[in-house]
Amino acid sequence: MSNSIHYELAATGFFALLFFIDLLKRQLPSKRTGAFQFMLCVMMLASFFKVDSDLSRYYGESSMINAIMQAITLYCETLCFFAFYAYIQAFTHSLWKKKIQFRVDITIFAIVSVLVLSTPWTGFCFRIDKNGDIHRTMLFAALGVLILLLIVHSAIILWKSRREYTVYRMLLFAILMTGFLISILVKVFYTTHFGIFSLYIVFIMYAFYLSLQSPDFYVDNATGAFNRNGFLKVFRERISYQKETACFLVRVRNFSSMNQMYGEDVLQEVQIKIRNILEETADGGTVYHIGSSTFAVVFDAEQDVKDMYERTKASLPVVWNVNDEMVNHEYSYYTVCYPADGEDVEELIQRIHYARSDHENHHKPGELISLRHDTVAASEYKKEVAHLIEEAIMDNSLELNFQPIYSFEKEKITSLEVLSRLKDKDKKYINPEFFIHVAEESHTIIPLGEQIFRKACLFASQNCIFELGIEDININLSPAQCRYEGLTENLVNIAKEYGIPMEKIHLEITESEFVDKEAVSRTLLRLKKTGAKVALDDFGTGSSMLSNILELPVDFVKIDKSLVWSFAEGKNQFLNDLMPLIRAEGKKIIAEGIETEEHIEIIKKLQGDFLQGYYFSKPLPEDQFIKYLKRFNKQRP
Amino acid sequence: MEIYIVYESVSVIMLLITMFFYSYKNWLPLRKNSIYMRMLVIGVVMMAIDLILGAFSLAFVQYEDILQKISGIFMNIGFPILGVHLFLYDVAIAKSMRVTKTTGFHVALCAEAVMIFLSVIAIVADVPFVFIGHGDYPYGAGNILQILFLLLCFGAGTGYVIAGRNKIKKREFWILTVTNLVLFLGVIIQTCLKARAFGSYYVITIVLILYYLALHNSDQYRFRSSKCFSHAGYNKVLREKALYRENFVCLGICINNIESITNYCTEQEIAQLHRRLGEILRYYCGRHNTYNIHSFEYMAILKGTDNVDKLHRKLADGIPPYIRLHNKNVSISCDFYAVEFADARYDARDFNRILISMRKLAMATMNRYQLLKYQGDKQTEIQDDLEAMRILSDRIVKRKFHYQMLPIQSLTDIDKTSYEMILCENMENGDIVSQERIWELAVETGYGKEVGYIACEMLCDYIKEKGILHNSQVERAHLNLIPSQLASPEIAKGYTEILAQKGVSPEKVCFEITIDENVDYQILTESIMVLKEYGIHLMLDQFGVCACNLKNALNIPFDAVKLNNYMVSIYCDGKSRQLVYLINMLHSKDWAIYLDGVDRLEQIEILSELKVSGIQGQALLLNPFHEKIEKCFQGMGGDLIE
Repeated sequence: MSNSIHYELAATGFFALLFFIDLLKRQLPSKRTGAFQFMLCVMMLASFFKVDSDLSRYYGESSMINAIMQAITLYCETLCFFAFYAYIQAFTHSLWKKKIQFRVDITIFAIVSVLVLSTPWTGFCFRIDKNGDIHRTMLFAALGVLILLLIVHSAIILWKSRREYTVYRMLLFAILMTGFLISILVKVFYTTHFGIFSLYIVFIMYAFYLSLQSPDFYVDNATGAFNRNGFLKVFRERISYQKETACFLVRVRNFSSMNQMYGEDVLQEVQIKIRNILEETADGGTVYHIGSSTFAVVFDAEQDVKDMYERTKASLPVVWNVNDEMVNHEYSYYTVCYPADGEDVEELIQRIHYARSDHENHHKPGELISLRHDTVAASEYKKEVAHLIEEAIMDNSLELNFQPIYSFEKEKITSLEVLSRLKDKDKKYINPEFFIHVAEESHTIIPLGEQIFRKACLFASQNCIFELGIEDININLSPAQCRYEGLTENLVNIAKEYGIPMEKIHLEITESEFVDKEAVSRTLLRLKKTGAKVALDDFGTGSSMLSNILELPVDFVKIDKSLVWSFAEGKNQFLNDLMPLIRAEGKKIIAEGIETEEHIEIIKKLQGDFLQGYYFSKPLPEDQFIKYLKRFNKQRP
Repeated sequence: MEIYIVYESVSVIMLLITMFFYSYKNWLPLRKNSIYMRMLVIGVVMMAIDLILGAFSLAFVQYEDILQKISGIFMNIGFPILGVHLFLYDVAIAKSMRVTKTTGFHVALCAEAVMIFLSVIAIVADVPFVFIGHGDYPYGAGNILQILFLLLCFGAGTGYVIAGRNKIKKREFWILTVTNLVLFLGVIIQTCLKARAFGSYYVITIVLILYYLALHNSDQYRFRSSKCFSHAGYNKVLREKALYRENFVCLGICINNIESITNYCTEQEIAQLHRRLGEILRYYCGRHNTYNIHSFEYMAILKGTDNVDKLHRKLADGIPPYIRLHNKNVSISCDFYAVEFADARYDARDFNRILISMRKLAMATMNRYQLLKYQGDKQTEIQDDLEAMRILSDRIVKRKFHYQMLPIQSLTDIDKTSYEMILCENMENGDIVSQERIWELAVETGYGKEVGYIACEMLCDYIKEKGILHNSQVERAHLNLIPSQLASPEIAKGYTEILAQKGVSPEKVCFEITIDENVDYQILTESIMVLKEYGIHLMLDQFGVCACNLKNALNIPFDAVKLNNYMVSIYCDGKSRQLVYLINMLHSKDWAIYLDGVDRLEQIEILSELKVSGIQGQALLLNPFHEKIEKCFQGMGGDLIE
């Protein structure tokens, strides 16, 4: 028996192994997966029929049987190339069934099928003589050319979308296609049987399978459902084909803390149960486990999501009993639909990410929240601001403004508050409180704070402001910065670099329920040791803790403008008691929001020490502030 | 050409492809994986040698005998080793590798080693103990013994798989059993046919590829973008380490600004970022030791504690503060922590809990040069937290907490006393889980509302049990709540329903609400109105130390306010007169004012000058109140805290 038959046999064995194992695995409901399975199946059949036809030739079967076997083999081989062509189209999301090109392809394939399969009787592609030798016709060569065209077209399709794929993937495709090309050339021009090509294809397909088509990559190990990779793959594919898509998302709240309380094994059990319930209620939808606490179900229509929501709400228990532990779960539900909620796939994916992440205020338990643009607008804005902060840090582009602070005692401007300014895309200023909060959340407050401090020192040094009557530079300090152990050392070094004595630095820490009060207290004490002064900012608003005045090592308390204004309007009388309370503790008082003479009188009567507000000046850019300062203090003795 | 060369050449290439991808995709440091890797290497080496020798013997017919002998030697060495590995593979999956430490295993190995030695000698010396070659030839005693040894390996492997069937997945059980059977039958058929079965290598290759495709699922255990192992992979490794009680150190690397990164980077950019981070971490920590646990957390598993500090320093320097992606600068803010598995007493569940706590603490440090270690205060703190969580979970299941009742003495009517219910739990070390901690944990784990309801039910039961409803001397029973337990009017209504269900008059109940900085004043006001309309007395608790917006907090329609003990103590100690100003300020609200933390009798004298409605604290347990309160308690059949 010819060795080529053994090569074919060996290849058939591996094709069969690959095909059947692939069948056993959970397959992603995507065109690409279907096309690959089809290709694998066809290749296995082609290889099998090749063995069969070679055997029939070897055992000298009748020429008609031989011809039929050859025709089936040729048909399967042709099908392989069409399958590959379809796979490439599916891979690049260009397998549009409704387009003319697809219909043309199908028609061509149908014609080829008729020509090839009728060959034993018509002799269109080849004929077999009495000795069993095959004589190929021009049509056979034409078939070869057609297949060559298919491969070239596949290459063009791939080349067009090359930017979406890595070099590694493209290389694999190139190898595979080169193999195909050679096999066609051999088939057309080389008349003897050359089974080694089946082997070549097996090797490539195996490598291909392991590198690009492994179904394991899309399956979640914990629950057995498809994972986030699978979800994104299917979601992108559906949107590429402009197929109406409705996603239903279920998120288990407080998952991380639950994990700490019950452990992963228990929660994994719960996850599996949730997945099972979702599978049961999905009614045609596919379930994905897209994050440890989030499941997604993909449907074709928005109405399906609404029905699913009702079913899920009724079937997902609040209390799970796992290994004698009662696990309490609350769920948030979201929906995002294509194209109703947006047409940009990246934007939709960002919204899905939003549902997966911890945005406490928006995760209302039990409600179905539609992830439309307005729902996520606040979060989108936050994203934008976070990005602008990152850019400002990198480009050192944060702007500073300065607001004067008037001293009752000295009757002139003796200090200034450094206020940072950040512009959005429309060149409008972002509320400083907001972007500082975003910086705290996104952990960029350390470099941001450092930049503000450095720029403030540079400003003081370049403009010799201490010679213009300024005694203190007030710079804001976030409680989050205090958790950074190296903060004091950093600030001292920067101040030293610009020749600013720390005694001139006045740090304003915002009132809040400090996450780590000890760290705040420790840092403030360290800063005070360097000579810097400390003020409690925005007192009376936000999160005031009266005990902070006593407990924290602060020298000044800044009364928030809202208290000053509401006192002036007669809406509260707190200041009557608050101001003496602060003074009794030996702290000096800075009143914010001074806009009228009446405000000044009130603070004077309540024995405040410093005034800050638009009455004197709004926050000014560097040059304007210097001009203002010179003018204001010149008028004073 | 010999047929076997065809199959061997195909097999060797298939195995090489498998080996390439197995290494490229990286394999988890599990016993079964390293055994599998060894099997691949043995298979490839054996086949390659056989193939080369076969090719040579075709080309150089004059050396055929020598080449056949060499081939025979390799086969006689290779097959038993492969057989042992197949057995070990079964054991590693289905049972424990402790089997390899048994005497039986050692005896079998020694016997086989002797057999291999004798076979090699026999082949070299042409002794008819072992026959080599093709075609119909007699078997020597050596051949028979080698075959028996292989059968023993496959048989024993199957035995262990069957014995461990409950611990492994169905798929694993069937694949291992069937492949063992195939190999077993293969050897028997080969023996019966008395021919060099050209399919031997081919079948082994099929089996190894089947194992790889069906049992290893490498892609499920790796992050494609970072090329590190995933959380699932980490769990596998952790379970094995727990099984064999192997110590290791886990160096956690948290990217604490990932939320911001994911907010403004596309999926592709995030993948690029992970790729870069993965490259750096794999470079420093080794590719077999690096895990991408979550999108924001990486982990390196190290064998000993010696290198942790050094590695931490390297990573702190090696991970860049910024990574440039397209037109974006992405800042990388990372923190580090280290935990030893032995610290969790080799318990995977406890270890994971410790990791979660450490992660939280590490992310708060915001300093990449600080390595947070699980030792000292941190260890105690985390252990206490975990125990507190265990207690909380247990109490929620039982719907019962331990509590203390603290008296509140009315100063407007000396005969009237109220009682405040304080939840508290004892830990094993005698420490107490405070009510504040219980609330905090409950909110964190999503049980805030539930615990509030449970406490309310307990309060109602207490009121009924002690006959407070009809006791004119007892003004009210107080329950502490936090705003998240009144997160909506519907939730607030739940409390009224509990009171109605238990038949407790709302007039006898007071809710003490501590405001925190996250409170939504509008929602809280709405919820409070629901309670107020029902007739429940409402008190602003912890005033003075709670973080609140003064203007908003004082506009909520409370009936009373309780000043915190800190304010009381600094006033009584003469350190501050804040209390006086606060009381003056609160009088304008027309609220009843209570003072907390009145612990000494002399404090009462100092405080008597202030216009307050009631006091609370340890002093109430002393004379002159003691007798009165004790009497009151005894009258109710209650317990008095000493």
